[in-house]
Amino acid sequence: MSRTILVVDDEPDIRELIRLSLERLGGHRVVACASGAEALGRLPEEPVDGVLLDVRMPGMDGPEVLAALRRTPAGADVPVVFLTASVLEVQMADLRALDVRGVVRKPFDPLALPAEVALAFGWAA
Amino acid sequence: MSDPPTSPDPPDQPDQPDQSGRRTAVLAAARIAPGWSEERFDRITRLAAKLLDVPMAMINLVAEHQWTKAAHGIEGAPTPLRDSICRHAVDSGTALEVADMTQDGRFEGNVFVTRDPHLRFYAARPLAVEGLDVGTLCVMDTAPRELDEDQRAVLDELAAWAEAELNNASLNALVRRVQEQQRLTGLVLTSADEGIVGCDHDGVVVFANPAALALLGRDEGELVGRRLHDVVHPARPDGTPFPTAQCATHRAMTRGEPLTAHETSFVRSDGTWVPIEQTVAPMRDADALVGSVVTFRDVSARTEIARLKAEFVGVVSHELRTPLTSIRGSLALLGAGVMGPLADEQRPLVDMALANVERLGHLVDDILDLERLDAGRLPLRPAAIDAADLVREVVDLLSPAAQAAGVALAAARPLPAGPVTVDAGRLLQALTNLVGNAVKFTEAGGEVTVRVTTDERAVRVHVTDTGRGIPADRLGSVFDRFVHIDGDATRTKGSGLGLSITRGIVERSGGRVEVASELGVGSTFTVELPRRYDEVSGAAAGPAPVTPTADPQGAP
Repeated sequence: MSRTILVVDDEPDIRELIRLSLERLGGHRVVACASGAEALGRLPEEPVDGVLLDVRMPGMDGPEVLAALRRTPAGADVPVVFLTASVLEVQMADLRALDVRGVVRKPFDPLALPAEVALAFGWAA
Repeated sequence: MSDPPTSPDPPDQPDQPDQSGRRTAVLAAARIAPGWSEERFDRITRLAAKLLDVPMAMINLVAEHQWTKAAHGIEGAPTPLRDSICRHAVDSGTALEVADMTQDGRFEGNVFVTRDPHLRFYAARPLAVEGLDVGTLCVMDTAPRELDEDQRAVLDELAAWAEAELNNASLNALVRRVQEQQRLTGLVLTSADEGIVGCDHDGVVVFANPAALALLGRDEGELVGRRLHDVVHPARPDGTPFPTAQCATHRAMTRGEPLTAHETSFVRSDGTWVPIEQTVAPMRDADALVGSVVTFRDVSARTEIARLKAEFVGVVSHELRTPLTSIRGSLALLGAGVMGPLADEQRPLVDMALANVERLGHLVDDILDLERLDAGRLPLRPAAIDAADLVREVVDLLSPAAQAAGVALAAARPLPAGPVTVDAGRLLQALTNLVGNAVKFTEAGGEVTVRVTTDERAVRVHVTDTGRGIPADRLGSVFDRFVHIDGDATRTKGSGLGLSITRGIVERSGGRVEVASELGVGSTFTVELPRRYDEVSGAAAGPAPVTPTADPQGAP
């Protein structure tokens, strides 16, 4: 089933890879943003099914964007999945403890990403 | 003309190099040197001339040549042995008395007889230093004469006096030598770059060299007489109390246990902490512990370098990883035909690019792992597991690669349970490196077998291949980084870090790795891990976290 996914990542190459993977392989529609601020601006005018949110970003980091999101009407209930390069289990556990559906690890395999993202959001594949 | 009372013929071979060498050594050790006159010897020759009523008296020393220590009525000069008259007395070790030298064959043609001062009469007594005859006290005259008994007795007495003076010189030299040695030892201690502190068996400082004082920013009065621990560890660097009982330095000093390359921190008088590497060496006197010597140096430069290196490696790895991720992702999408089908001639290039980007990725991962192993920052989460399960997992994981290479990879049956406490993921990585290597270095048709053996102490995993084997001279270096067993990095496509990482992980887990190999037959790598005993009083006897060089209570 096709969904609209808001992807927030400061690295343009990674954004493009995610977009290609989720659109071409997953059959979804991707709205890509380079920062949390941009995402917070886009969300009210662009209803999405889920937000794929990078953790380490300049300016607001992932958890800060999440907190800001939850304070807006448009973002209060939207499902969020973190994207992180962290390999430490403690940090992963800290992230999972926040109000998110799941965590997807970087680096990801673009061929497997659609299935991973669906699993994290709890969407039927 | 009567014969002198005691004058046996000197030895036939006048030159005795051994003897003259020994004499030189004795004189040197006694610091009896030519070149200056000393009143205490001059006095004896003066008195000899007066008492015996002769114009000339000398104290001569005979070693590789003859030289004069004191002379009265004659100039002393270095004389070769062949012209030396005294050496006849020295060599024979007995008194020598010649009434008229022109009548004695031993002195036929002697320059002192034929030329100035035209000696006729000569009488000498040998002088010994530390039991070895090294010279004479002699009296001479230009006219023939004889000594009477009284005069001979006087000469004996004067010779005994001269001998005593010579040996006194030897004693003075010994005292000077000890003083010199003390001065040198002091110089070594004060010049040493490292802090050196001597403590008694209660850990109280009795000596501190200038480097120690400078390092701690203290003067002697603030350190000597106080317990070292009290001065350098008033608290832990984080401000919490530092009980004496927990101080490794103090423990080593009071128990007499040596401590080597131990890292801690000492506080300076201004309150700043200095990272220190110290060595504690117990001082024993007849088996009783009398104290210890603590040698220490500031390792902040090294600590800072290690930190910079870790930071550099971390940043570089991250900076490498990010573009690698993009390249790998793009190639994966291309290769999978997501962007449209690839032409037949395009596919091999994309596959090659993908394979190499994978290799680069592994290299970056390996460098990061190794850096964290070096710094002791590779997080390990030990858990109770069965090594046999890991072996099965590794075999499953690498079976496709083995199959592709035509190598028969199998776990030996039966596979006994191997109870260990390790980080399963990291040990899996270690075993994957070993088994992967074995597969890589085994020709098609060969075998790789993984066995588990156990005894009461240890669990061992053996990875045996039928590969070409490792030359004996390279066995010792296979675990070094960037070492390729066959010396060919491009052929094997490995990072050259796998075995270093394997060893690092196994050692951090309290175990060790060994290798045995026979050229043309194959190699066996063995991972030995401490066995876990859950059943013994319910306590898991797994490996304790290994932090080899730090205070157990965490003083850095």
